[in-house]
Amino acid sequence: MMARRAYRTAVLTSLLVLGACQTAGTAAAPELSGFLSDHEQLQPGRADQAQLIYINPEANFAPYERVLIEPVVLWEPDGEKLSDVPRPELEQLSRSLQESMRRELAQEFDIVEDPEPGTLRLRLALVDVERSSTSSDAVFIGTVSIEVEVLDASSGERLVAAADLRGNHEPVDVGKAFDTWAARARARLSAFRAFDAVHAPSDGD
Amino acid sequence: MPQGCRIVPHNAAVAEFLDEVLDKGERSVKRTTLLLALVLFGASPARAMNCQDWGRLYENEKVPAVYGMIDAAVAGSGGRSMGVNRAGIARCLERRAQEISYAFDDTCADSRTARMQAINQIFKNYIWTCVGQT
Repeated sequence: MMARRAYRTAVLTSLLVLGACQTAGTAAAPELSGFLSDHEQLQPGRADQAQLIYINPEANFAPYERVLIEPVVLWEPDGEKLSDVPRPELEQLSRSLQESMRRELAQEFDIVEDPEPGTLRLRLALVDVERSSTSSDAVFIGTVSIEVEVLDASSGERLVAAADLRGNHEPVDVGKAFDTWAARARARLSAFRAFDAVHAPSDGD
Repeated sequence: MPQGCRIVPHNAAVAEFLDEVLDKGERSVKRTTLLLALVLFGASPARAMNCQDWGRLYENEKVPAVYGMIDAAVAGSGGRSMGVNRAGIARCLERRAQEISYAFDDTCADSRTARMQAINQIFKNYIWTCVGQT
């Protein structure tokens, strides 16, 4: 019991230290834009305060073999301007993010245009894009935030939702940020599928 | 209890064996124990562990059970490929195996949060975090 208490104290201390370091180096949790419908479900991710996530506890990812990737949305609710970045550049960014996702997920799933049974639907939006104040190079963006959700393409049931932010006014290579997001999306979905193939939630539970 | 799930953790001889091999602390041995643990708590395919199952495990069976989950997530046959540092994700999860075990304990001890799929959800949250750190 003592050892366990000591372990917990050590874990708590390290989380506090790590948390402090991360707060200094990265961004605060992003504010949600309204692109994701059910805000209340999202919670701060463990040990990464820049992320909000929701994972449906009932979701079984094992049967999903296909993914339908919706066009990346430039989220401008009520005509509000997304960014001071010129529209052609924003559209280029959305195409770039779409291509990163498509390239990565194609290695794990069949990419489809119409929902079939066993298809995930990926909804994705750029919700904040700010120019870097210290770099005029278009490759570098000051802040870029995305919101994403993964649904069952047939039923519309939400399986995963997340919001993330990169840069926070420090120049960030936006292409690399998109590739990182896409690679992580693939890795997470791949691990969920593999895990659920063995430990899938069942109706009887 | 759903069909196909056998909970047989109270086997003193196997528990002793688990103690013995865990003391050696080698990864390959842990792999052996996790396979044993899977047999112990009867994690048959397409069957999630719930708090009831978790509560039936002896203390010395819990971390090996977590290793079984890690193995399923990073080496399972469900996906075609992971595309990122699979070994790094496994190491991250393994470093947290004890913490994950305590998280399961805490969640399952609280009747307000001990939903049937709480363990599954907590473990996927750890996967999410570890993918983000590799």
